[in-house]
Amino acid sequence: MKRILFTQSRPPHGGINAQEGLDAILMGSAFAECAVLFQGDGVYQLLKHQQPERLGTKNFASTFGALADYGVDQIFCIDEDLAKRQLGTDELVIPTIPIKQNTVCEFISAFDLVLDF
Amino acid sequence: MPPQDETDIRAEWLSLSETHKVELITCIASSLRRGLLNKAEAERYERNAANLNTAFEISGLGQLIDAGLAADRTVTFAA
Repeated sequence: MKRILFTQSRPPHGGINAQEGLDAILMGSAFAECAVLFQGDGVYQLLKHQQPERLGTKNFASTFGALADYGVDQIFCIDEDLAKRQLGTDELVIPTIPIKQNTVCEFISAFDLVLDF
Repeated sequence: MPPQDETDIRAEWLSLSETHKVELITCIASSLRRGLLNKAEAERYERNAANLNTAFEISGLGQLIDAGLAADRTVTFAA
């Protein structure tokens, strides 16, 4: 079976990329084995206790919790990107597997298709 | 419409499509969110006019995934 990696690379509420990426992941799960990598400011998408309603944007962080129901259980984040933002995996809405920055190229190259949002 | 001294990117897309017979497909969810409607969508949402050039076809995310898996290379330019 082919494997797709979605990279979520942008913060959650400044633009629409994060939400559109999530839509793509849900769709992708119907076609192939999917994994998700949160990198850069994309790690903020997973923060607990977001209150985007005050900005008039949708609180979609909880939808990441549904990924497992779609068979998407390989969720990764870059260790250094969390550390730089002083975040721990316990502050995120779902469990993630931290990977090291220097292994990212090799990690990404193992997938058949990579879509960045 | 871009100012005269800037590139009309849409015109470039149309030219690329015509010259090389490349399909131009937009995602329906993204298009609607940004106010791009073809004739069928304009009718569905009861809007007076369509504004998407007819060279573009509206499709779904499923086609992106399907095409990405079938192609030997996928190039993206995320904003």
